[in-house]
Amino acid sequence: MKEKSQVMDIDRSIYDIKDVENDAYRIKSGLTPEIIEKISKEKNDPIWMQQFRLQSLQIYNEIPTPDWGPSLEGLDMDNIATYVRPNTKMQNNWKNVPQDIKNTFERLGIPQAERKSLAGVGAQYDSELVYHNVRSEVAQEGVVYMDIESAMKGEYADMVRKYFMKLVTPRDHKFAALHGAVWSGGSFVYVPKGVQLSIPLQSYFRLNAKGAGQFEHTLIIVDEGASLHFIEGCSAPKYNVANLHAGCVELYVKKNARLRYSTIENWSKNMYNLNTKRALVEEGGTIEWVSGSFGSHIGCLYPMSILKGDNSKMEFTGVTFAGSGQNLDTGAKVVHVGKNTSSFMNTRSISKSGGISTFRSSVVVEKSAKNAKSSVSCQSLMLDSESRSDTIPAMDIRTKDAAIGHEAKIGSISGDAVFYLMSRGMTEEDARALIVSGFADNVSKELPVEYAVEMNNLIRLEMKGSIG
Amino acid sequence: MKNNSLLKITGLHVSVGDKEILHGVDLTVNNDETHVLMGPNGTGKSTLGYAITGNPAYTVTEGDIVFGGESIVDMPVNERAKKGIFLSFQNPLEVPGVTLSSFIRSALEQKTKTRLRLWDFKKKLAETMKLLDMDESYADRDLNVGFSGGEKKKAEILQMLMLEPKLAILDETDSGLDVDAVRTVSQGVKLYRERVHGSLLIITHSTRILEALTVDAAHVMENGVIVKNGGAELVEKINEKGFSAI
Amino acid sequence: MTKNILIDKLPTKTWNFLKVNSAEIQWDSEGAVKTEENICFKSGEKAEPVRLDNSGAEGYTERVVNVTAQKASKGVIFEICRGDKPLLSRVNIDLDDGAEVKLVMLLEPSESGLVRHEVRAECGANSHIHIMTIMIGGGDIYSDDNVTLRGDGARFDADTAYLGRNSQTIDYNIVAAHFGKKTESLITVNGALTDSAKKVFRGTIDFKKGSADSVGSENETVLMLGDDVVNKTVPLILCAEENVEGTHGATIGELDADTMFYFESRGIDRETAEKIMAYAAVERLIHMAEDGEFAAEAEKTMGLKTDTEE
Repeated sequence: MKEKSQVMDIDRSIYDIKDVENDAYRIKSGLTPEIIEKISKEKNDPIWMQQFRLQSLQIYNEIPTPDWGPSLEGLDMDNIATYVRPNTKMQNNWKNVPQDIKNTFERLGIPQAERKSLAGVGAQYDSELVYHNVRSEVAQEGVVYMDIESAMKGEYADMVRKYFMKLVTPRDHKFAALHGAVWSGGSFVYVPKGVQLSIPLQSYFRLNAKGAGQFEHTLIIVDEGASLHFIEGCSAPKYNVANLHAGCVELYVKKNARLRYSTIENWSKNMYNLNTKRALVEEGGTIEWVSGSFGSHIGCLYPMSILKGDNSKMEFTGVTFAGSGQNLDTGAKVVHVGKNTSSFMNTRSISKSGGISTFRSSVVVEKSAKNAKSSVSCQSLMLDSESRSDTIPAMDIRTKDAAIGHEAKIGSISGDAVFYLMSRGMTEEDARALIVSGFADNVSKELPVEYAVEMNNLIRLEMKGSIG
Repeated sequence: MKNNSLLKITGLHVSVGDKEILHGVDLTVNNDETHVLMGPNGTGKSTLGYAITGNPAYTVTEGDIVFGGESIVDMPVNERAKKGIFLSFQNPLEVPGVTLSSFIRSALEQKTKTRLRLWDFKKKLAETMKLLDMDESYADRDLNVGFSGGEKKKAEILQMLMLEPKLAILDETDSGLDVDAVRTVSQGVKLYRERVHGSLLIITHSTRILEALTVDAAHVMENGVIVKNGGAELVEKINEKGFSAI
Repeated sequence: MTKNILIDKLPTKTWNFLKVNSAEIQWDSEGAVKTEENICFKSGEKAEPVRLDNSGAEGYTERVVNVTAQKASKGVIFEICRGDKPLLSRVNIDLDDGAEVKLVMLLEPSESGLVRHEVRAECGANSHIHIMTIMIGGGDIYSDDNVTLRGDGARFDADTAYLGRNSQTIDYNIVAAHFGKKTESLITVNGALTDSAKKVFRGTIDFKKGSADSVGSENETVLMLGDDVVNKTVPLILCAEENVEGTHGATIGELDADTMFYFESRGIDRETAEKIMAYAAVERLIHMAEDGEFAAEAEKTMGLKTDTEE
């Protein structure tokens, strides 16, 4: 008989430390036009944005909750505070960030990473950016990395208005509408023509307030021939009530530009993570998504790429680890519109201790997408029989000269592999952790080394105590 | 007809993608002749076979291939086949749902542009299969599906005998076969020379397939060029002493 | 009275914009002529082949056949569904332990016809069900197979071939639910689409908790030959058991370069090669059925070039 795994609480201490809520302002829970108007006023929105928010709320009320995917029954919007303002103005120097908030980000290693390996950092705490800075040499090249609310009012007002929620419209789905109504914070990035950023920019999102929502908006425009690597990290301490993250990421990849968007998501296990990400790729452009999903109670995450221009490309590399109490529904969507477009998805998912992981994908090849190529490969690992792992891919192909390949595989850790490693002196726990890390190496290989280490630590944490 | 040039290759350069594999090959094969092309692995022998047959993945960047007095470099694969060029594949393709018999019949019909009388076709197919020591049931089996290595090669030779090309290129048709299978294949090739009087370009490492045949010329290829031309004696020399001896 | 009904449902939903969660058709169940019959394969015996001919109805027809395959029985059913009118054929098969049942179907509505076919099978220990489906003809086809591998060691093979022509819709749903230990499902779907034909394939392998040491695989090849064809493929693997192996593979596109080169090197041009390959999947299944009578029926009306014709 095989020993069955036992569920134990793992050490998440660095993520779980809750700060005392010193909010300057916390809006009432629930959703009403009054609440939206209050947020708008608090933010000093331009008129068009105020109207946009109210229209979005209306759309939110019209659109039903999705009838597919994980149940969202535990999410009661009446109990979610959509706006929590931390007790600080935005800073461009860590020294000026209040001590408690700074401590949080230091524990998470953000200032250290900025010094070592990042071109710029944005840090959001609850609903507002508390820190934003970009290296002067990068700024000199014309790269704009700033909080989106300032961008909306300053020099880039027209650009922001032109692109804001045009790719992900409030009509897209219920939580996109919600985002349109209550969004707050987030970043605006513009990389001018031909500028190649060799080191990444990073945003870190921390949700500290209990029963709150985070709705940041990220808008990135990589102009013709430019390239950028953007990294996004998310975490939150665990509370016993639902928190909600419904951010929105809109990426514009212009002609021959290249954008890599990496995410290590480690929200706490009371989080509903209903984030929407989308990229529009012009001729010869490339979007690369690298995604590690470890946290959240419920996650619905399917970055979408629209390959509009001829010869545009997308690559999606993802790993999802669903442990106890988690239902992570992740994957990607791609629409081929241009000729000679190509998409490549490579994902791994791991289910353990009753966790549910679902790989969901959609590959649409329109009639115009002559000679399109698409390849999807997804592998799932079941670590015990209390868990669940589903694979739900879909393909809709409308041109005959496309070449479409798909492969999926579900299985368990081979006893032979564990035996082999144990015969070399490893404990069973270490052996299994090593095998799972190896299984997820499609993503860790794509991440900068600090993040790969963090990811492997997360896997190790999740694997701890898995041997009964 | 003897000694009229059938195939004349001059200064042939061939690339796959960005990589040039043949760097200027000259080779002439006359009507009713048996040629052997030898050389170490990976020197471009199969590439030459593909270039003559017209595999679209192989691009002729320089030089010419003249077949029956006509340049065929820009001719599509199927047109070349209809002109009488045949390649026996090293790794014949498996095609589920298409029987060996219906495949050969389709090819013959394309060549002759007429509907074949089923009875005549079946009779000839059965006779030829017998000569190749192939069980008749293979005719109704899906093309190469579940065939052993030897059976696949026999099916290639069967196609050659049925299609009666002017030039047959045998790409390592003898590799991986046991002694009996090589003998049968070799008998089939001999039959092709006797009956059809077509020419042969045999790409091979070994000499086993040549035992039943009279070799008119031998060529040695190394690194994408032909480094030595000779007669049957060249085959024997290589057989005894290896490529380093020449 | 015709009503809009949802059929061929995906066991778990995905995005609605893809329009693959189910198929919607008009159907008149109230006005349909209904028949029901029972077939029994006797314990331990090998039965004579059963031939079902569902052709030539007047209006909506719903026909149910209940098949009981007793312990260690062996039976083969050849079923032909043709006609100009809407037809629903439902075959319920109950396989007792060790029973072996092969169901070979030819679904071939005319252009004005429509065929719905449903198989509901319940499989006992070490039983084996093999469903072979040929979908061709001119009208729309909806085929829905639900096989429950209840007993340990039960096995399900599905071999399906289709040729979609004109503006035909072929909507194919198959669900293999693994409950027993060491159960096995192998689903192979091959087909070609020409003109503006549309095909949806939903294939689900569902490993239920407790189905340890089970294996399931789905493989699909779609040859896209028309400029206006639509191909939708939704291959699900659902898994609630650790020690199982599930795989899926799909290849969708034109004739690949290797195949094309091989055909052309024998002097066969693209058009002819495509024609040959369009029928290849169906031909393969006809051979596999190993039944002269069925083969003759299948080849007769398909207008296929066969070796019996002069």
